[in-house]
Amino acid sequence: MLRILCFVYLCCSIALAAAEMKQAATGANDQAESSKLAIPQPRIPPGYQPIDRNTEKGLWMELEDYELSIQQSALLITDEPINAYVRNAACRVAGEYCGDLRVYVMRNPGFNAMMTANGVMQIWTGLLVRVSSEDELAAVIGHELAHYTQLHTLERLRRIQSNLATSSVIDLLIGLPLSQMAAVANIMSFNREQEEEADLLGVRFMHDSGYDPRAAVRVWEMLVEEEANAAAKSEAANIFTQTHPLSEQRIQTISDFVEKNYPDAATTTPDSSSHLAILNRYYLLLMEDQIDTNRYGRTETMLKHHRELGVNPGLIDFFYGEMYRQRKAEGDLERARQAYERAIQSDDTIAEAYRNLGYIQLKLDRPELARARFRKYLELEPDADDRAMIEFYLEE
Amino acid sequence: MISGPRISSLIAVLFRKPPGLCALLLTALLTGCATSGAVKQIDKLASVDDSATFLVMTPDIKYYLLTASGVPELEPEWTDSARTHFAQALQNFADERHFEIKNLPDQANLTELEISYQKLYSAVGSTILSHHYGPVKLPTKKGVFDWTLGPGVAEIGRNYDADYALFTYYREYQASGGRLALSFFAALMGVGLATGGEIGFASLIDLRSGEVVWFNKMPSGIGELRDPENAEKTVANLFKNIPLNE
Repeated sequence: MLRILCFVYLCCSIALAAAEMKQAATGANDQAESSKLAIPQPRIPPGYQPIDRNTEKGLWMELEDYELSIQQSALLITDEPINAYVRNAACRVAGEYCGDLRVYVMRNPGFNAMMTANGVMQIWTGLLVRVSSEDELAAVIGHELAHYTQLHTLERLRRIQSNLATSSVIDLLIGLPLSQMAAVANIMSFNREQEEEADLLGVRFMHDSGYDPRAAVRVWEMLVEEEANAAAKSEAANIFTQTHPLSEQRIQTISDFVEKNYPDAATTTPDSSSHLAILNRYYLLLMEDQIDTNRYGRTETMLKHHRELGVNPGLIDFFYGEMYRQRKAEGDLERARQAYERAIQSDDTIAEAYRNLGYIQLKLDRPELARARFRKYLELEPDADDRAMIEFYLEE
Repeated sequence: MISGPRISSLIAVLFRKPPGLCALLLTALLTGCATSGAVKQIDKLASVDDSATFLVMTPDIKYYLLTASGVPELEPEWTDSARTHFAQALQNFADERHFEIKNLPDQANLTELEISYQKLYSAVGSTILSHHYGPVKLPTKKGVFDWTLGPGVAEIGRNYDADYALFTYYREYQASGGRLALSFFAALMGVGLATGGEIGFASLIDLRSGEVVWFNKMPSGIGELRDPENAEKTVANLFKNIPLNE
């Protein structure tokens, strides 16, 4: 009798759990199986608000707290010109979705951008130092915006719930966590589908807002190249490439998509002037964190790239000096000295180049030369935070 | 099977933020961490006035639905109702015990100083939970409870003319029908699956010295904030043994 009762309850349990899984899976499965390279359509209208009572409203409520934590973060960049630049690009790409976005520029040397289900877009400073033009910035923004308009976070949440619940039942039956492993693999392949959709819809957003859709191809190619260089120097992979698997295949798909749907898109060299102006204006802030990552392979790739792009030579040479000074490999002291010397001969040099050259001369045991550089530093920067420190060296 | 750390890292992936306190507590909840009780450093409240004034730091209260998958979902209606009833129950508690309470403005309107102390408290509070109540004791602490936010917090006390700051944290995970069914099924197979529960703790900071003068972790299984009557009981449990005027 007890056995029968147990069996009946067991059946009910599975039915109940299954019903919940099915509910969770709704929406996860209705992703349109559109033919490859067809132009994707946004799934939500501008001004979208959460509909689903539990999962989605709960998610939005959680994200409100998250947004507040971003607004109150010490890493939030508040300088208006840099924010205006990124916000304007985002608004142009977003078009009628502009009102649904809140864009935050965050201080972090990694290449990343993030999008939440409630319209919070984060752009890391590491992204700004890597892209070459506003079009390339727009490519990343378009990709992130597509995650928003396709409700990807919610979809992923539902998929995880449904997969884990189903696999728990199966694992209990077979007594091994095999099905859970399969569930995780399934979620990852699902993520790749979302990434591809975001790639293509992102290109559409770029094209519709008058940006060069080929910039999407260029930006991913640049990332692949950087990762290859970094891997050659045994540096850890970028956080973005950890979450966004990059491959030749993925770039090829984007490229084919552009050729098929937007064959008339401009093929001229992109206009880098607006981006270059931001780089020149904020170079110290943007590159300082990159130097501190101690990933010299990446730093060197970036500096070369920035020199080609036309960033002020005084700034580039200063950061070559910074890189060598921090790396401290054989001969780096001399390399740093030469780089700072070049920096101070530049028309657009910065006071810090004199100061750091002073420190190098101290290390090279040339106190007279060091004092001359320190004096010049204080002359250019009389209110420097480290004035007392420099005066101490001058008196020594 | 479904383990605490796995789920919390999943949550971190979903919201793309560090799991922090929430994950720590969720882990504790799902792996069964039983220690509770209060640490009381002082018996009486001190104030230049007749009775002490408490500055109520924005209570951190959230209600979740624990779905069949083990992934918790924030429940907006339950959370709103819990916050409302908690505030009322706290006011009643203060009236009965004769201390005055003042509330901080909404989270969005806090000053930089208030935010930084909130963040500091979150770090100190979770350290107390994991190293005083949790299994991993800090060898150099030798069991001594001398946690502090430092005297800098006095500025907040002066700004609000308050003697103590009261921090509260409450999380409740209610298992869904599917989750309960799954756990019953699992139990038959000899596997234990968490079916939720709640975690609540509160602490009192002396706003002159910054010291944590009282800290209480509520035993699980007795919390409920969604109706006035139970909210009163939960508040009484959460603030059981709190130092008094007199």
